[in-house]
Amino acid sequence: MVAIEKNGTIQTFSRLPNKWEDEKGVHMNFRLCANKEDYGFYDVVTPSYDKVTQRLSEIFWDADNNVFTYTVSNIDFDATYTVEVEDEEGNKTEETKSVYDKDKLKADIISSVKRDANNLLSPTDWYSSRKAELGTAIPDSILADRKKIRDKVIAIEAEVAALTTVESILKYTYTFTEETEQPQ
Amino acid sequence: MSRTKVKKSVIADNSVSYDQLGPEFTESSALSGTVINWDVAQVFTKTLSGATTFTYTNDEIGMVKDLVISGAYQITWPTGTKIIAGEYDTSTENFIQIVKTASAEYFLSIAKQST
Repeated sequence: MVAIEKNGTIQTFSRLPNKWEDEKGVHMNFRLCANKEDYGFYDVVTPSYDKVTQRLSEIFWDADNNVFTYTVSNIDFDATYTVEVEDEEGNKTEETKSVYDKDKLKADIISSVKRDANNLLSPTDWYSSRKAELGTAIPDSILADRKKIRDKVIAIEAEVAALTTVESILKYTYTFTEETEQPQ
Repeated sequence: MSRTKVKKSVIADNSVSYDQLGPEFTESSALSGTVINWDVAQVFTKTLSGATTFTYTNDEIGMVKDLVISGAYQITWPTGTKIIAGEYDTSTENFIQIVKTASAEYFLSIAKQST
């Protein structure tokens, strides 16, 4: 990634534009230019950071290293905000709420898990309908697969309930597919 | 040296043929440098050997020039150039047509041989 500062605004590009216009003229095949710095273009250095727990600042010019870059800051998971609440009698009070509501975050995960489980179960739902209507037995393999999905939902719900920090909730991932060991 | 004003009665309608036209309409010139003199040829050819910044002389509004350029290098055109069509192909000859439409305004289009 490269960037250029023009009129106080930093413009970033995934790579050098092939056409570029500046006070020197209109450049064609600009990507082939030998020295992009002659035209004010410099590399963008993105520091490594944890996308869940950290944030990048606005891009800025690092004159010491002749690059455009960012600073990394930790997200304040304990941040709060206040809202004005009015009761039935019109009395107003301020209520402090967490920016990162753990219960809401957990509920979002569980909701997502149930949606995924439903998508996995729905292709074999017709076995249940057939059994209810006609009494035809559901094959054991289908029953086992569907049980596995439901058991997985229960296991995930338990794991999510046990999470205590915002960071652990945000970083929590799940999968319904079995991880298989790769042969050595 | 006295100058004679050419009147319509001297040059009849439809009597100016290709032979009577000046080199700016009839010549092709291989550019050795980077200055394009719009008076000396209609067509200019150049194989780039490095990053090239073209400049113009004797360019007048309404004139049209054709350039046949090849080479995989950066090209810089004068300020006021508007690339209106086409992409330069670094792997083949490019037919570039430039029209001067106003003072310091040039419309430029690029084409290449179809495959």
